[in-house]
Amino acid sequence: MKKNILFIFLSFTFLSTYAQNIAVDYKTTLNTNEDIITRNASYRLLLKDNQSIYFNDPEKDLEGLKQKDNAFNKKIEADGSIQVNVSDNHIIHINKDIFYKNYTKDSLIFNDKIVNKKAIIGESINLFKWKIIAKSDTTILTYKCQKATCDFRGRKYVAYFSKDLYTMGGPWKFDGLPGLILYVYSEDNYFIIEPQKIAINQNNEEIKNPYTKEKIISWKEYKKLFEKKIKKIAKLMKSKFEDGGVKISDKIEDLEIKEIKMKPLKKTK
Amino acid sequence: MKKLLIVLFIFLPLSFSFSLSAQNIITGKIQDTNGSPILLANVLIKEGDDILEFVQARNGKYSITLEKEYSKIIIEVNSAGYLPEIQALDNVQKNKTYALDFVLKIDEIKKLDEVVITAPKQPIQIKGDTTKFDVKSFSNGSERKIIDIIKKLPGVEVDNKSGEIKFKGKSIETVTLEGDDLFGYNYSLGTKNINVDMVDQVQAIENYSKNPLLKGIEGDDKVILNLKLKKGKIDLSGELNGGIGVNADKKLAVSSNNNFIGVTRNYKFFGVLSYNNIGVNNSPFDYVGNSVGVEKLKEKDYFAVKTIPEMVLGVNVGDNRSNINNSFFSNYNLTFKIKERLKVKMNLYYLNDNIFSNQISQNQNTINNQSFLTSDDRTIYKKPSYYRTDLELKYNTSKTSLLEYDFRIKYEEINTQSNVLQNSERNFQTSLFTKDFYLKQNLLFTQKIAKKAVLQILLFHSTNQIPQEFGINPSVFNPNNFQKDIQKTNFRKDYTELNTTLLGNHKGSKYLFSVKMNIENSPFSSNLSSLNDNANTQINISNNDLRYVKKNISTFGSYTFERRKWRISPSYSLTLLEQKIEDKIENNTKSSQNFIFNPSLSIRYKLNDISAIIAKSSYSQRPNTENYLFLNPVLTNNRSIVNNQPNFLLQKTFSSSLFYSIRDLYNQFNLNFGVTYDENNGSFFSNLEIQPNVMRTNYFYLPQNTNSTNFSFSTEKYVDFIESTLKFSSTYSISTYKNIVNNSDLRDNQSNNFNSELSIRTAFDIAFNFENTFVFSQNDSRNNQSGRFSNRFLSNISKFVYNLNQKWFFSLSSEYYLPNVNKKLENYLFLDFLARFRPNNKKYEFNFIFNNLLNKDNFTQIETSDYSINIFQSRLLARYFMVNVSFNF
Repeated sequence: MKKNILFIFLSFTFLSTYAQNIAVDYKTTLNTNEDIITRNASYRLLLKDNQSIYFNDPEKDLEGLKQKDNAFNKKIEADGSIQVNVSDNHIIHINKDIFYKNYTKDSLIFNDKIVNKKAIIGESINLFKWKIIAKSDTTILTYKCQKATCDFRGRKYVAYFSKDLYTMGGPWKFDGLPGLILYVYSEDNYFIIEPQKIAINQNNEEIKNPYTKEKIISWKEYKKLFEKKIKKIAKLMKSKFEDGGVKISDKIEDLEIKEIKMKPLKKTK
Repeated sequence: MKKLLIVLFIFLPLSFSFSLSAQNIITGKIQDTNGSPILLANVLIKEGDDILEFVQARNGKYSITLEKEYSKIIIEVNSAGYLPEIQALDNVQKNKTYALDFVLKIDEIKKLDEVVITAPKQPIQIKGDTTKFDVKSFSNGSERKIIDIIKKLPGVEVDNKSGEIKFKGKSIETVTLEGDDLFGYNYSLGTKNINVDMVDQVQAIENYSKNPLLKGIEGDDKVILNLKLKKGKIDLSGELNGGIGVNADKKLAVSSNNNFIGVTRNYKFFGVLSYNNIGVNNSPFDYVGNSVGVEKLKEKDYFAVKTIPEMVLGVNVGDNRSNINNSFFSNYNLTFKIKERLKVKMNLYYLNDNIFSNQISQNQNTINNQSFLTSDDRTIYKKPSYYRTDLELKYNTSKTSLLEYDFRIKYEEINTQSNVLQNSERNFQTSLFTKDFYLKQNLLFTQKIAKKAVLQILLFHSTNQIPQEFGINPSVFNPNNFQKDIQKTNFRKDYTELNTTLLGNHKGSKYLFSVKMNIENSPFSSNLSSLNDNANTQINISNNDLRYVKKNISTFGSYTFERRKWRISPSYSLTLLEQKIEDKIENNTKSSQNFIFNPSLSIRYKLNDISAIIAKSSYSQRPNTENYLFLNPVLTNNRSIVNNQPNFLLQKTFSSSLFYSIRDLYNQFNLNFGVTYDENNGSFFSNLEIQPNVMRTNYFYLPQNTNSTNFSFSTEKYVDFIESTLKFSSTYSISTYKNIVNNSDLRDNQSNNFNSELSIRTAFDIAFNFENTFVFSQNDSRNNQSGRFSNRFLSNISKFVYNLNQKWFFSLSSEYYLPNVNKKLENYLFLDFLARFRPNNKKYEFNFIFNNLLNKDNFTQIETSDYSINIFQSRLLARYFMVNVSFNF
């Protein structure tokens, strides 16, 4: 048993000495149904050894905002998220997103918001059932790439990955292909992730799990909490408006929460 | 039946499991050289370089169930930090499980070199209805103003004369600045004046609606361009520019073009302040050529007719070479929010110019087997002044309604003095004084009445008055007794309209239905008289005093039906037209009533995402009375006298077209070809009486047929292999018309025009680039009585640019013209040279301009008509040298 532990330890040190570290800058686009929140953002993926981290810089994303010139009333929150008004009754939140992956543990941890409350969610890395197209005829940023497709939580995605760059990894939740995913888009053009820059061995920063002290919930719990919150909002609105409904219209992933219809209240005479 | 279903249910899973068992399974261990399991690895089934299937292995164990059948399997195992290991299985048997273990060696030789690869900025991005063009990608360094870039964008065409911009063949509505419409139809204000360096992207937005309530409801797909400014170019920025130099006549050449842009959350502002005498027109108005701007074209129904034309005509040569000017132009555009719901837009214009022109026009006439030459040598000073204020208020009365109010007041004055030497023997002094007063008010209310239906009510009123006074000395009519002739005219047009429109979108089909009432009231008066210098004796020659009234009640409907690859849009209009002329001189009143039905149909068939076939057909009846109103003669210059035989009869036009187009922006390939055919029945034709000293034109109506056919072909392609964009366009038109010349019978005339243009523009990655445009055209006019007049013209324009380094840039342009291909000796060559210096901080820029190096001071162009060949010569701007400094802030 002791021998075994020693061996594992050894192989780890070798890994960290010889593996390359890779940084990829991505541009993401969300073509939302509501034009006012459609936006571009810049993310960076750092990949080293058996861990990766994918994050944005809200200050930079604010620059890329369509209505940035009209933006006012900027507030920076503790975690680096930014809140800004683009019109008197339209507030945009630019979250500080961090997607942390540990490949040896098969664990993906990321942050999100349930309406306005912080949530840390843990999932498996292997979420995708990819179908590989056996043709590596696309070159992206000088790397030969192969195409793969999959269905994931309500959308069809097309991804291009390169096995020459790294044996795994990808932006956002995307992963599970035998190479690094460089380019992903949903077939409905809702969600697009394009690579802008690849840097190999440029910096040797260690990757650390930023969520070690947080309470982590599962995807299932997250969906439940979300639904609960939506229902709460619906109730609140019901007391103010006569008719309508609450529906999640712009979310990358389908949370399987149906529109909550509000029946009109009886009119008081 | 139930039995069968049950059988099926049982059978299905069975067959499924059966097909599963037909597959191979490979399992094994993955270890490093020390025998330790490798925590994470990929197992790949490969063919050459391609991965066919794969599985991820954890903790040194794997198992892969192959989906496909193979006779030979190549398996690669890789893991980060290890060298990949490949093994092969030959003669694979079906349904067999294979065991294969892998031992991976540590990749010790993997280089730790630093590598950075950056994505190039894409020149074109298409997202939904928006096409974004990266300005830098289309620049070769020679461009100064944003229009120079817009001209180069794939899918965009710019009309050099009117400034009209088309995207994918559709005329754009406006050019917005960071999403706000500051300029309206006078968008050339922005495109001619905004500096290239300020703009990051030019965006073409299709399916645009100016009114957000009409988004997705409006039928005719509108297109706009939006200029996205560079980051940091917000708040107040702009350009101060001044140049001074000397021309070949040892006179000062001066130019200054300053503009200011303000972009903040609450307001947007754009201002121009410019002066020059080097032929540059910074305004959207053209006083040299005879081109009509986009705004004037769109609003032509509201304008009165100018009876006496100003006699300055530009020639088709280079940029502004024939504009010998002295122009001051200033324009301010501002849009801001007063309250959240109330938005204001203001535009102010002021223009003052002093244009000089020297023109020799020679006509070689051949009429009824007689030949004679007429000529006019004119020296002209034309001084236009233009004052205008626009105001637009937008009030969002609620979330589902919008109230818009437009107001415009314009006053224009043109004073034209000229000296004419007619037929090299008679000398005349002429003066023409034109005033143009225009007032427009427009109230539009839009109310959303359902999720996808909108009701609009429009109230429009405008008045336009154009009084003119033309004086000529000595008198044309009574040279013995009188010193001069005075022709006064006054045309006014009052236009009032009430329009109610219902627009909607029903399951993707768009419909529009409107009811309109409008009244046009147009009084016209003219007086032609000869008088003495001391004005105490006067003789009246010709008077007109009349009032033309046109009343319309009409309904218009259109429906656009879109299913799969088809789009079919039928439309109609039904009009009750009443026309009336009260002639106070003849003392009579004539009137007519017509009931008019105008149908039209347009069909588009999409072959795929980038190509389509479009067919259009329409039948229309229109009155043409307003342009041919006055019965008694009006003198319009030293030799022309015009009158009409007014008539209420309608012009019937049948028009059809068929086009095929490919618009592949990603691959920068455009192709468009097709044919348009128009047939008219009933038009005003001219009865000309041409004498060496005088030309009388009488317009009369005949219910005769004329037609025109127009073939066009254009293609544009970026060829990667030669790193160049090639463009070829060609048009051929045949049109027929009729006239009477010097008491002849009614003549049948035909005019054929052929025009083709080939251009190449390089986009090399080196310091040197060039563009070249070759044009050939042929005009051919003939009639059934006295023969044929034709001319062939060619020109070649080249521009060589050289970016020596970040600081120095050079360009040399050459323009070669051969006005008549048969007379090779009469050719024109112009050379222009420019050197540009930019110091490191890039805030300043110095331009050294050498224009018209060979000092060609005149240009000739040749046109043909059915009875003559016209040789038109015009004076050009002399050679000049100028040093120009710009400061960007």
